Amino acid sequence: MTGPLLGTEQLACRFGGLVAVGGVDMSVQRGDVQGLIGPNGAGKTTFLNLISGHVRPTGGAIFFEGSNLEALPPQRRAAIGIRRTFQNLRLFREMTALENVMVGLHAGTESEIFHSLLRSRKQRREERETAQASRAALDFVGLAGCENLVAGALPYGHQRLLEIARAFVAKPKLMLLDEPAAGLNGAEAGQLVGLIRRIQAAGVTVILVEHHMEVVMRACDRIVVLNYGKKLADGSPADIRDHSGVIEAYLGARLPASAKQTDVKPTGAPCSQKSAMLRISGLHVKYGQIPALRGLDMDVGAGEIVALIGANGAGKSTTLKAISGLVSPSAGTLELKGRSLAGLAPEQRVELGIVQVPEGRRIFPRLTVDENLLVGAYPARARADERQARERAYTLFPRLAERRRQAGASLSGGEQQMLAFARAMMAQPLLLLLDEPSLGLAPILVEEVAAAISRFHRDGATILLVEQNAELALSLASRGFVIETGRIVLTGSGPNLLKNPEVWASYLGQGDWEAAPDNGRREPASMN
Amino acid sequence: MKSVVARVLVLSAFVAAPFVQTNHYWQHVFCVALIGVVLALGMQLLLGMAGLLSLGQAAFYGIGAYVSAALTLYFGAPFLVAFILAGVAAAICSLLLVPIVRLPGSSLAVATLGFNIIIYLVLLNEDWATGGSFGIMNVPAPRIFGFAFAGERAMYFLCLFVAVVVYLGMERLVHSRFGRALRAISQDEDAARASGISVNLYKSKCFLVAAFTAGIAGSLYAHQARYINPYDFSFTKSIEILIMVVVGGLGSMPGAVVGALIVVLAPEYLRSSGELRLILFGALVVVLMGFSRGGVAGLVSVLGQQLTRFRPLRASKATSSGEPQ
Amino acid sequence: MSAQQFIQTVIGGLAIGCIYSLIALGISMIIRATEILHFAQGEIMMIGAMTGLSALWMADLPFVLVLAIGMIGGGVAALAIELSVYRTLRSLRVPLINIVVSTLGISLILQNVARLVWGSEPLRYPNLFAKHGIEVHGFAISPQLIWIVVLGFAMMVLLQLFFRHTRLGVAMQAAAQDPAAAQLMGISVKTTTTLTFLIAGVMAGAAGVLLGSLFFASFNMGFLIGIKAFVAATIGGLGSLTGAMLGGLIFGLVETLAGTFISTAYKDAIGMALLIAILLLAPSGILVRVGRKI
Repeated sequence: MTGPLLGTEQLACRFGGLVAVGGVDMSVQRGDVQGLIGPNGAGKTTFLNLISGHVRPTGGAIFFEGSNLEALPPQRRAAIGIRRTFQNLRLFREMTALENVMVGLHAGTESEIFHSLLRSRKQRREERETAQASRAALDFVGLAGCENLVAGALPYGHQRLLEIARAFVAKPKLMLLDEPAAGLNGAEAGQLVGLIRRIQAAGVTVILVEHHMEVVMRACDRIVVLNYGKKLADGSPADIRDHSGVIEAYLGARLPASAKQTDVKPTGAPCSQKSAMLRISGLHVKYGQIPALRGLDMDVGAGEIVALIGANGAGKSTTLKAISGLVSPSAGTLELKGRSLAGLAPEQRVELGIVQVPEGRRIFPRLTVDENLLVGAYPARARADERQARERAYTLFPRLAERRRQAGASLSGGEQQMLAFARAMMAQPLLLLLDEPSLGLAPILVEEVAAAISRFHRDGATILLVEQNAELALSLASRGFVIETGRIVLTGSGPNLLKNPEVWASYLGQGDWEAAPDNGRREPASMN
Repeated sequence: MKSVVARVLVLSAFVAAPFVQTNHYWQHVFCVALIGVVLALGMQLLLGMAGLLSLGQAAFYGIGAYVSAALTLYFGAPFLVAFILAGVAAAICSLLLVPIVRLPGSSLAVATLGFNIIIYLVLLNEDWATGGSFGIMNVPAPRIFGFAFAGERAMYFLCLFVAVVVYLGMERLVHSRFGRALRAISQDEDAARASGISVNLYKSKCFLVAAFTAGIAGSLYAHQARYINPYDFSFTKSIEILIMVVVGGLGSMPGAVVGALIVVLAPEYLRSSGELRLILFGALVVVLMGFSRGGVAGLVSVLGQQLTRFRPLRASKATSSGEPQ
Repeated sequence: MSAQQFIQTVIGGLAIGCIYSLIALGISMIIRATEILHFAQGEIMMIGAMTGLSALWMADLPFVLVLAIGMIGGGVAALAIELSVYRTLRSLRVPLINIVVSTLGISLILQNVARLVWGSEPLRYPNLFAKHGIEVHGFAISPQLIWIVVLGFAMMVLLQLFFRHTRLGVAMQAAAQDPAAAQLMGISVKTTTTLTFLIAGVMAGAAGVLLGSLFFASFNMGFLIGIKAFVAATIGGLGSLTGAMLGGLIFGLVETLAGTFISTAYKDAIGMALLIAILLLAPSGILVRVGRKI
């Protein structure tokens, strides 16, 4: 049968004011490993959700083997041969590995209540065959011998493989893999590439969403790049690697000079003991068994803008969470103006002046703009000047003033970001932590974000800016730190880092990562 | 996790009980406890396996009791027929719940509670069929092929037989494709759908089986107590059944058995403390809720882990060891 | 039925509706902040009723003072339970169902402690209101019912004002919508959760005094009323405060009118049937609630 296995025509999905996927045409050839990449917030996971049926499109159509998937619910799509894994690992944590995989065969088997109660011959045969096929699938992904271990107790890398086994066991026609390499170390990522090729050899067509560039380049036959919900590029790995638009999308386009209004002299030197606002030494943070930060060292001087950049999953958000007290470190120290933050609850840190604008804005959806700002002034130190601070916020962000009685959820992405900034400023911060403020925003809004950050800095705030958009962050900051798998690998002045090709390599995995003796981790180099 | 030896021992204990304790009142209480076991097993399938917080099991219990009593008393049906039809009637009534099965957890709980109250009121008010608040009296003792289960001890063994059969049935269901689907639904609905499971269909089937179980328990109750009235089947009973399952341990069929025994027997043993007994029982429930997996099964597994700390890591089906945060 | 009787019935429905609303508000607040189904909320109401009554036995107090004492009683009871039991369970990170079942244990304890202290017999509130009716448009309406409706509405309005216009109220809403983000604003989610239980307890205590003065107080008055308040809250949408208010009033009206016109025996059932019908048409209740999944 000719023709693509899967085709989308002008596929679109919007959530209220946010356009997640904006009219994408794509076709996946039978037997291909099709990569789908793009910066955070580009719409990749939403796209997968549309194909698997977990989210309904607001426009366009999806064709599978020539027929329109239309309103087919997820379980029916699974039954006709579309299987998937999930970005945040959705295993049946309390069932054994074998049972997890056996569930994958639910659609192809039949035994119901009566047969199970009577343990009929048909049921016993079916159970046997299901178990056998499941064992084979476990073996195929490299988990032979784990079958009786409870899924929640498996090491992280094995859990990822288990999810793939569960999807593979049903011999699907199309398999959707959502960031299977997230959190894997270098060796595991290499094994993943091999597994994906073996899945392909078994006759399965694959759509791979991934951030890990080496995995994408090595495992995929074709790659589609999404940005702001639209297709940016479509071609072979070689085409994409050299595509300037793609590089720009990831690292950020060059900003017009007007947006960079800081008058900070880029020094690049680490600050002295006295002027350090924030000092981090040897910070280790784990999520369960998974290490997120492996000995992080950083410092931010009073009145500085410091950038923390790195690829997705490198540990940027975790660092901010540790500073704000939302996660507890397993080792290492955090000091604000020389005073240890250990043991302080998040609320107490806010009272000390550490204010974070979290990733994804996180404004309160059902409170009005006014109420959001009111909440921002909650800390005791901020209450006295609350009214003036509010008026100042409305002067700085006139669009917010227009919408002061509107609920937060009804604002557009850019407006929500402005609100998040304004809300943070209400707390009279000493140290302002910004977690990916440009995430999912169109370029013109990114300029506004840059301008707002410059303004805060001029008003005296010390800022730690975490960004995937290296261009934005490094052009605003006096100093930058590059983080990779939980450690700082590069540091230097903003402009110097901007010119340093090693920064790009850290993002796009262009180094010869297999040959590197320590799986690609480099010693921090200082570039002054 | 029961080996054949353990099962034989436990069963022997159950068989020996009415001989060791010859007091008729206590034998009656043991019967009630066994009927509770059957109810708890059905509830465990709903809540422990499928994660459905249903607060309406007592409605099916009542439907089963009334159907069985009416069929034997007014229509002279043989006990076995009445017994099976009680279960079937309850199962058919569970189809009324199909539309609400897709509701999220809290709404489902309140809706099933509402259902329970409606059934209770029907039992209370339609006295032409149910005898209203007076209930039905003189329900005949069960007769199977001429043998009358007239005494307490005979009734006990009938209840024990049914409880054992239901237990084994539940075990088979849990370790089958059906049970896996239910457990998958309770742990992650979206992932279950992505694996091809029709979530709402399976939730409905789960209600069906649980209702049937409650129905036959109702039949046993009607013929054991010989007198039923609507107050036995109010939502207080549904809550009692919930407590049985959570006290025993969610997700564990042996736990459901233990929980039922505790909930029925403990207040009896505490009778000596007078007014305090329900307070102590309430306190016991609260304390048991402090154990993560809940209940006695959770407590046993915690103790078991302490004891097996020095043995090599072994898999356990019902509990998870060393779950990462 | 005469117009006067009809109006009296409607006001009666509103009065009992206000009482349901006060309890339902507490239930919805707690669900919104913690996702806990607080099955002991009816018993908190009962404690409020009993406390008010005990105060009346000791001294001849005006109604508003009795109401205040009942509110304090409900609040103190709720606070004590939250600090000793629920907080501990949350810090042990037990699954949600455990906490829900623990509320059932608390309900048992409260009922039987009340039985020990106040006995099993229903207790009447002494007459607090004038005997004859207030004349409105030529109709005589029981002043008690009017008091209940007025006080009930007043408290609900005050609560809405609190949540919408005070810093603490807005902070509590924020903590319920997004606890992690609220922490980043300097709000202690632990404190706001405890305050939620406290306020819910105060509302329930008020409901207890109002109900007790209307009918009577007894150790088991909380059980059925509590369940009905749950149903009312669900009708309006679990977690929505406005929904709880509306749900309570609707439930009270429907129940009273159905009891008068259709059948007294089935009036409870009609409320339940209404619930199920609404859930089928609007699974999130009448007021659609966007945001956290239940």
